[in-house]
Amino acid sequence: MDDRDLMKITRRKFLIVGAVTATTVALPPFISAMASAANQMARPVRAPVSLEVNGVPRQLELDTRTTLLDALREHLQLTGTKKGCDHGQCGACTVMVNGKRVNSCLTLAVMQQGSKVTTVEGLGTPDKLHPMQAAFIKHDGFQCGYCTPGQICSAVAVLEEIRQGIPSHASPSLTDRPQLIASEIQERMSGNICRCGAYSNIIEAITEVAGVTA
Amino acid sequence: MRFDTPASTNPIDQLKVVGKATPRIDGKLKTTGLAPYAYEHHEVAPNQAYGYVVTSAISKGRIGSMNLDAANAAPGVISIVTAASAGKLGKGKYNTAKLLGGPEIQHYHQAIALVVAESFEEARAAAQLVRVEYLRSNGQYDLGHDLAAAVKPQGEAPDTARGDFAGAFSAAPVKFDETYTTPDQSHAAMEPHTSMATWEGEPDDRLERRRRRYDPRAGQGKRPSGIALHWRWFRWQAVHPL
Amino acid sequence: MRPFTYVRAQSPAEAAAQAAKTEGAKFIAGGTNLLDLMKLEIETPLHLIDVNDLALDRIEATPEGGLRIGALVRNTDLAADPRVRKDYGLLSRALLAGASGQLRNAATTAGNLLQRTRCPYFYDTNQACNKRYPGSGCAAIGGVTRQLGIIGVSSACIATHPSDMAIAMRVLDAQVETVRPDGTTRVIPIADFHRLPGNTPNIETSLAANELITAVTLPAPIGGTHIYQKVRDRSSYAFALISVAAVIQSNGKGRVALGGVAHKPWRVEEAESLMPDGAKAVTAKLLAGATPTHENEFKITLAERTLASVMAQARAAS
Repeated sequence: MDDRDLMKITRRKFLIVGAVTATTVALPPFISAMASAANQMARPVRAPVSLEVNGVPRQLELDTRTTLLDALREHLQLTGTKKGCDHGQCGACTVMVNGKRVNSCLTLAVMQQGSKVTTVEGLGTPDKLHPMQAAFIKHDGFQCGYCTPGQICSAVAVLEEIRQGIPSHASPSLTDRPQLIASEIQERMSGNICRCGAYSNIIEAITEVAGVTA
Repeated sequence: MRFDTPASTNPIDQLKVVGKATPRIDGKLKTTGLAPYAYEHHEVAPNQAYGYVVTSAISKGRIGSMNLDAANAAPGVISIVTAASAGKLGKGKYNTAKLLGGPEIQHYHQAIALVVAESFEEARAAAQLVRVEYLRSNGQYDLGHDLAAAVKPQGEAPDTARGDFAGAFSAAPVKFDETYTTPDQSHAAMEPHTSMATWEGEPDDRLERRRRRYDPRAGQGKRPSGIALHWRWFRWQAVHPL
Repeated sequence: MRPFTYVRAQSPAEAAAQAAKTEGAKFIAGGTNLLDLMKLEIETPLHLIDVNDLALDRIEATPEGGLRIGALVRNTDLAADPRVRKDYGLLSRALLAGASGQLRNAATTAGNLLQRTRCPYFYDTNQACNKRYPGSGCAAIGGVTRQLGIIGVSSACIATHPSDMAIAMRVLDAQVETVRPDGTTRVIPIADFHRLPGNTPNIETSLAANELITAVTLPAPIGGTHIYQKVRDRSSYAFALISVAAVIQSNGKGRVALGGVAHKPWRVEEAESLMPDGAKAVTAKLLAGATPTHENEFKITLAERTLASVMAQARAAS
């Protein structure tokens, strides 16, 4: 039976439903029956992955569909990195890969073979806080805390990006070195959203770690 | 409350509580990624299964039919919960729509099935194989469009007025009359809605048979536990982040 | 997301050849658009060819005095390159106006060109979409169209291309270098790279099947004042309602292209000769024949005013 058959409604069904005031509908999603049949029994493919996480070599054997985010959270039980949208729009999944911040939900674990990954757990612990973590506590840069690990990983990376002289949309000049000022920090942190609205305190925390008086 | 006298000092000005910097007691856990949120309790049960929600493709109407054959046969699938199989479903005191919809659909993307599988990836892929035939009804989606049908509430004065606006406006040397709209916005907590459920009680015979049929690793001696199958048989653990 | 086999390619020609031999193969580099679409099963590759190990991540000078940008150069690195900042500032500005820091670190030059529309009806797999399923219809037409195209659209599709980088590259006359499964190479001018939707909105570029982008070249610098002005509902991390990419010389002549208005970067070279006559004249020619919806017709005025602002800034800078 192909999609078009499913679009027809039998008279009997129409009567049963009674109060329907508009015609019946297709079968979304508009999937071709052939493509569906070809894939509905496809078995998962597994592959080995070795990567370094917070300084520790880890070996995993994973469904190739596993994102780096789910590899960390579900397979390494490192739940510090958060799944906020799973589509690269919120930044809660931000981790450092080979020294650069990325959205771990939009890369596959298998793509990170040989990579060095740093998560929020790798930045510091309750007994030995990273300066950025301590600053977030001091300046109350969170409420529910769910975006916080991503904010902290991003913030650490942002300061490094400014130090490396990478310009931003907020930089008045492309060729001058970017400054450690609030407008730069706000622009560079725009990929990390916070529904609790701790933004102003987050900027204060980052500004303190940047070594500039707020 | 009329603000027609100058403000004077009030207790908050002492900054003894409000305004005093106080590190949160959960601060160290949250900033180091150690605070556990809703589905981050790996320690409560081994080999946890994953559920993925199937949502309605229409905003209003009915499910005409739902075909679960392909989804049930997909790798790793343990079970699929729908309103047809979940038994009697209640509704929370503060809910408007039913949390698990069907056969009536009350809003777009209303949850209509939960696909439970060994892994997140398998549950998500199987969810795409659920085939639903809908019977769509007309709905109302545009406040502006239906404004003419709005009803004035009884009781408290729905409209208030002070002074003579019409007179003052017509006499004004400069008049500005425009309508501005802002789009609908809704907000949502960063943490997605998630729950964890563990099985407490005697294993159900039916459950055992279903597990063996759909568990690709059944022959290897690995058994999933902690499966979410029917809402009423579970103890729920809720974690509040604040 | 459907199961797929995964392999890392070792050479560009090998990658293209393997793609041709393997059913349902797709290249993956940064993955920031492809994985997003795979999670929604809008893209359903059976085999992923990871091209990140290919030595295509350099920016080198060309004999003509321009730059050859490897397909794998990350957006952040391209925007931050001193040569780009100095001589192709428009490209830096356009890149920095897009996405977020995390996404720019992973996204690649080629991936940025190949990214697909963010039309909400394309993304909502419950809606009819001729891109996803040719012939199923276009739910955007008659729907919420504020963000969608105003020119070069068709009755089959009114989506826009979301890239900022591509608009700048169109102004800078970039060329796209590729390798095909049989090992042959070719160069595609950026103006011909992206297609209009016509009756086949599912075909978005002029790449042949399994053809791999290896580099994008820029001609020698043309000087002038480089401005990328992006107008959007938020001041950061949002797609353009419209954007204006311009290079304007001190004599008032220059080049301009628009983003956020069409299925490809929108540049009409004949309109540029009218620059000395002002933004209104340029926009009238640039957007002649536009067919906006009632909801997005504001983009025409917005484009004109933004161009006027850009031209004023250029006059002040020169």
